Formats: sequence, structure tokens, C-alpha cells
Amino acid sequence: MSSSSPPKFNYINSFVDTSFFATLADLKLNKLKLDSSRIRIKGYSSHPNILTKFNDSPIINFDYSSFDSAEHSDHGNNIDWYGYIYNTNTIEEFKNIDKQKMLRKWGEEILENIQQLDSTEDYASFNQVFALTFSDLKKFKFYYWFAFPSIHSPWIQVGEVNHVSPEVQSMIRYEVSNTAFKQFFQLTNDYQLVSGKLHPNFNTFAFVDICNNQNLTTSSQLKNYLYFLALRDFKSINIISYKADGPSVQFQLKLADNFNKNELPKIQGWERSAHGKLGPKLADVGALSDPKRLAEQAVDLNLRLMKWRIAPELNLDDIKKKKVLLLGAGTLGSYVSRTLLGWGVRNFTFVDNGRVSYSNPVRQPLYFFKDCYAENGKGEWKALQAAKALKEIFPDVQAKGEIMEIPMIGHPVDSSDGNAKESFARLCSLFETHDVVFLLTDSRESRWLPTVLGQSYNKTVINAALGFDSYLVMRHGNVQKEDFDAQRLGCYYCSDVVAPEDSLSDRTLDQMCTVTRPGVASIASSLAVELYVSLIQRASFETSKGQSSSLFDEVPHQIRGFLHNFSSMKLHNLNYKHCSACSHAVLSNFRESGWDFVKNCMNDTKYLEDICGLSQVQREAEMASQSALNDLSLDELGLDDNEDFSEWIS
Amino acid sequence: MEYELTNTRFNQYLLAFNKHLLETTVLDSSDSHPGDKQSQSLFSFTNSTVKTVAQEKKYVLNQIKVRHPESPNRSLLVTFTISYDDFFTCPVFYFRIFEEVEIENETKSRALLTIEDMDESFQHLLGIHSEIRKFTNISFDSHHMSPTSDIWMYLHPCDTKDVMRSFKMFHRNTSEEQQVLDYFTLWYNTFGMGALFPRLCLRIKPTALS
Repeated sequence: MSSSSPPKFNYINSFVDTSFFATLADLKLNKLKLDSSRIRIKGYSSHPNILTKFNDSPIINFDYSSFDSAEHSDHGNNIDWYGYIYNTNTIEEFKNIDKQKMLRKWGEEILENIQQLDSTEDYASFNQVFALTFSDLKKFKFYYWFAFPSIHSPWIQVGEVNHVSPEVQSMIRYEVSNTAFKQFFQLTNDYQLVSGKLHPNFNTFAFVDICNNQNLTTSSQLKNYLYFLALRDFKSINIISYKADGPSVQFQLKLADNFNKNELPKIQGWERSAHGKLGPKLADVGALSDPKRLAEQAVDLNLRLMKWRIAPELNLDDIKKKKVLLLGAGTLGSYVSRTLLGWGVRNFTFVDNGRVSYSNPVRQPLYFFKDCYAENGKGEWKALQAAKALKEIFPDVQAKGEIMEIPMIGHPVDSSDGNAKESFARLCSLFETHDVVFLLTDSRESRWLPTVLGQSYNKTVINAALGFDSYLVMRHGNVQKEDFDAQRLGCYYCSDVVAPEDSLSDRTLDQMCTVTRPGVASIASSLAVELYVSLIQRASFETSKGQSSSLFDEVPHQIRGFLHNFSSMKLHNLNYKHCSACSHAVLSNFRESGWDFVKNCMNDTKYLEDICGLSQVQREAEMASQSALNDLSLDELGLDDNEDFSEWIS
Repeated sequence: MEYELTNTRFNQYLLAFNKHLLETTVLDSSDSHPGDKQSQSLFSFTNSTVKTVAQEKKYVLNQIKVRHPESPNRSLLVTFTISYDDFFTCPVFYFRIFEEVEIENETKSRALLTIEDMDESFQHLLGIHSEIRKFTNISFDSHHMSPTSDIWMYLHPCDTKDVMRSFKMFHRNTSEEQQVLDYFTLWYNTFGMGALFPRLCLRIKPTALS
């Protein structure tokens, strides 16, 4: 190969590991803050001894260790390159800063440095690294542009490029392998490599390359050594470009006449893109650094593992996108929401009208002691605090709280209906905007209206209720989804022959539903969530009945559990045509009269019993028992008519 | 050699294996023969370094760049390390995936945390399909060799030793070096790149299969 043109070079590329940005972010937050003065950094390139032919272009690596002040951290493997980073405070500053001027300043620093030197021993003075950065710490985006300034001197390559002899190759290899790293040597006439003070009579130099480019080109780091030689009045030189595991070559360079050491030289060195263009880089490492996104991904990953490994048919997106309405933010509400979080549910609304009391935190895992005396000792609103707690557990959650009393049957409303009517309207709109409703309140009567609304708005309704040492978990049949009403599953009220009424007034402490064995709530809550997930993972809602099966096998209608003997049973009962909540009579009255119907029911449970037919049933039952009693004639007992037994019979 | 790899042997042969890795990695395109020129030209190693941290813990870091088959300005960067896990006493594969795009004068890279986020062309090219995902246990954590908290994905080494044992391939009269290199190769194809991107695999030398 023969030529008489300027030599060609391989330009340096940076490789920036995310740990570089992580350390920079940490420095920025905790040390630099708005200080934009430069900080010392270092990068490393592989030691020539371990380069392979795949180290095709010169690369300087930057990672967390770039900010270490310790020098030469990894002797055998790597060579350190030193310099500075300028971290700007705004993206505008990063964009608008005069890059040409900046590079010139950096280049002149190197220039001043090497003007003082009389040998090439200190490789680090010849090639420095600089970086201009902007760190967007909110989005974990890092704008950066590295520069490896090289000072131009007008050398012309003349003659051929030759491979070096094996002797020279092994001599340099020996030097590189056995002494502290030096990059540039002078070769004496008796073939000694020296790196001390330059000798004006020897004009062959060996440059140790940090890449093994197979195209015989040398990395641009040579340029600053060439400038140094030009300054030191060398006019014609031989360069050995040593590549440890590649084709080391030798070529001759002549300095052009127009070189003037008093003129400021041209300086180049901003890193180019893969396509050779000048421009900065942007690393979006949010996925690797933003704790919120990490939590989000990790939660999803855990679930996906279940899908990939155990249940390939599992539709996780379907679970994730469902909006869940939790009526009650007490013990059941806390546990149900936490278990739903585990399933990847993201969207929650809590409805509750109470505040956190001192007895709550030990049983209700969304609350803490401090919540009991917040707001001047009144305690936090449970609905709001529960939503806040879920977001603290998992920031990706959309949770809100509604402070509101659910209108309860048997609890009469005053003539103005004010609050109750408003609550009714809000509850209706909540039903409309959610996909599934969990009934988790602490009384029977507060579940009546939600049961009616669940049917009317065609929502999945899961119900969990506790006794002292027993629980009931069930799903309500859905009147709009079943083709054959005779097959429709029942609701919470389908086994009752009376309409629900006020059970709260005059209730003694031991009758409160919170007087339960503490484990009952979490057992029931877990079952409620698992029942729900099994239910929505069914292949087809319409065709499955009672003990229908899902991806996870069976989907029972009801589970009743008893802690006194640690047993549970699955029950299955169909709807009751006179049910006070899900019968057609109730639902059609609700459809026609809405709030007026609800109000009438609240004020007088007899009204509801008349509508749904329970009054009639009760009458019939009474007649039946009367007739049974009549059949049980006293005559047949063979007793004397005169004796009066009526007192103990009644 | 026993079926286990000690940290000392790992350190001793890591660079030799990495050289083998750089030399023999192929992109096995589904539509053509392994090592076919067209698919080969779509990937290259863009970095390879080795680092030693405290207590003689040595690891390599490589980066493979896979060019988008249709769009020359887009590429997928797969950065990975091979290091030694002291608890499970076996090698462990940490990796990161970035999509890089060069627009005008700016090069943008974005870290991806799920395979689903990858452009479909890359998924197709690298042979990702649901069956593979099922068996690949990808975990997230900071890198065990790095003091910083930024996240890497890694293939959890809990099964590595048992599976490597089951390969029963080390009872031959080959040199220790060859045995360790065979171990590394099988490990890399099973618990390294082979588990992640099965088409970006090492060509196994016939000796390892005999």
C-alpha cells in the first residue's frame, strides 16, 4: 500500500455503563447539587495484552469506578484515562453551550500540558477524556457527549505501509507485558525501546494501540504524540503502530512545511455516532433506575412467571385492568385490597364513612398508630387513608377513597332525604364506573342496596361476611348474565325469609361484627379474592353454573368456614324468587322508581317484604304452622279437656 | 474435572472462553443456515472488556449490537456480563437490553426491561417465542459486582449446578482447559445467551458433544 496523504485514524468511542449515570445522579443529588464546576473522572480501555481481534475500534469505558479518586484500579486488565466531566444544570445549557469553544479549551489544556513535557512517558497527559452531560433525574434520562481531544499537526504519510518484523513485535510485546503501561516509545539504533527524554537523532517511534483494528489504521490517540514530535522539531519519522493481537504496521510520516509551532493548532475530538455523525447521545435508563418503574415491572414479572410456568392460559391483563370497588375499608377491606394488589390489580376505590380508631391498626393492615390521632385527634378518614396506603405500598396503583355512608335498609331517612339521596346517587355512579364490587361492610343491612345495585348495573359482586369464628364468602348470581333464571345463583339474601333490618341500633359490644377471631378476616378476604380471580378466569361466564370450573379448576358459589373445628364447606344455592334483594320484583321496582323505591324500603322493611312477596310467604308460613298446630290436636294426646295446658303450649 | 467450576478455575479460563465466545458466536437465522452471511452481518460485538474487583472477582462485559433488518438507524444492544456466583458456585449471566436509534444528530438509547418491549423484528430475528419465556427465569437486581443500585436482569443461578451436573460430559481424557471451556460453552448456551436469545448462540465444538 503506497500513499502520500494524511494518515487515517480510528476515532475513539465511549462505552457508558448505566452505573456511570447512577453514580453521577447520586453525586448530583447529594454533593454537587447546582454546582456545575467540573469533576475529575476516568475511563478505562482494555490492556493491549488482552485485546482480541474483536476489539476493532478504540473504546474507553465509563462506569461507577469512573468517579473513584484511586488511580489505576485494575492494573492487569485495564488502562485508565483521566479527564473531567461537566454536568450542566439545564437541558438548554447542555444544548446551547458553545461546543467548539469548549473542545478548544480542553484541547489547549492538553496542549499546555505537553508543551511542558520532554518525554512521552506519562501517557495520561497526552490523551485525556472529557464529557459534557445533563442529568434529568426525574426521568432518569442522561444527555451526554464525550470528547477525546486530538491536536492536529500536518503529517503526510509517504511510502508503503509494512508489517513489522516478528522481532520488533515481540520486543514491544515484552515491554508492554512487563512494565507499567506506556504508550509511546522511541526506538534507538540498537533496537532499544526508550520512553525517557527524547533523543533528537532517533526517528523511529512505537505507538501502542488500544485497539486491534484489522484494517491497519491506528487509533486517533497517536495524533497528540505526533503533535508533540512536531513541536520537538521532528520532520520525518517512522511510526510503528503496535497491535497486540493484530497486524502491527510501520509507516513513514513527513511533516508539512506549513507547520508553525507558534500557531494554535486545529483541535478535533467530539465523539461521532455509529454512522459517523457529530452529535450527543441520550440514554433513557428509567427502566433500570426508576424505583417506581422497577416495582411495576417486578410485580408484573412475578405474575408472568406464574403464567409462563404454571398457568399459560391465565389472562393477567384482564385482572389488571379491572376497576375494583371496595365497600368497607376495615379489616376485610384492608386484606382484600392487599391480596388484589398481589394479583396485579391497579385500580381501587374504597367507600367508608369511618375514621381510623385506636383499635384498628392491629387488625387492619393498611393503618398505623399515627393514623389514629391525625387530624387533631380525630383520626384519618379510613377511605382516604386506605387509598394512600395502597399507593405507598405500590406507587403504580390508582386508588381513591369516598367518605360516605352506604344507605342502609331499616335505617329510616328523614323527610328531606338529603344525605341519603346524595349517597345513593354517588353509590350508583361508583357502580357504573367499576367492574367488580366487594361487599366488606360490618353489617347485614348495609349490603342490601349494593346487592340490588350489583344486579341492576350488571357487576360482579363478591361478598365476605364474618361471625365470631365463622365466615361466609360468596359470589352473587347475576340476573343479567344468566340465560335461565331458574339456574341463576343466589345472593346473600336468598336464604332469608325476612327483609334485612336495623341490626346496629342498641347492639351490645359483643355483638359487633369486629368481635371475631382475628384470623377469620384474612382467611375470608383471601378466599374472596381467589374466588373472584377464579371467577373472571372462567372460559365463559354464561355457561358456567354453580360449581363451574375455571382455569384454576372449581369456582364454588359459597364457602362457609368454621374455626371452632377448622372446617369449611362449599355450598351452592340458586336464587330465591322472593329474595328481598335480587328477585325480579325488587329489581323491576328499583328500575322503575329508583331512589323512591330505595327510600321506601329503608323507611319500612314491610314495604319491601310486600313487594318481593316475602310478606305473602310469611303469611303462608304462619297459616301452615297454624294448620300444623291444629293437626296436632290435643285430643290425640288423650288429655282431659278441662285441664288448661295452653300456657305452656304457646 | 468435577462437575463444578471453582472461582479459581473460572478466573483462570474466563478470558480464553471469552475469546472463544467472540470468535464462535453465530446468529442462527430461522430462514437460513446457521452462520448464514446475511444474518451474520446483522450483528457484531461492539465492546468486550474484563474487570477485576475486590478479592479476585473477575468478570467480562461484552456488548452485542444487532442491527434492525429493515431500518438501518435502529439497533438492539445486548450488554452482558459473565461472572462467578459465590453462593451458587457457578457462573452467572447478567444482561441488559437497549434499543438504540440514531435520529438526525442524536443517538438515543432506551433500556428495556421486558422482552415484550422489544421491536417485533428483533424478537423474530433472535428467536424469541413464548415457549422460551416459559422456561427462562429472569430476575432483576443490582449487579453483584457493582456497588451501584441500577438494575440488571439476570438468569437466576439456582438450577445451574444441578443441570450442569446432569450433562455428564466431563469424563473424558481431554485437558483441563478443554473441559473448563466445554463447561463454559454448555453453560453459556443453557444459562446464558442461549436461554435468552436462542438464535444468538455459540457453535458447539464437536468435542463437547462426543
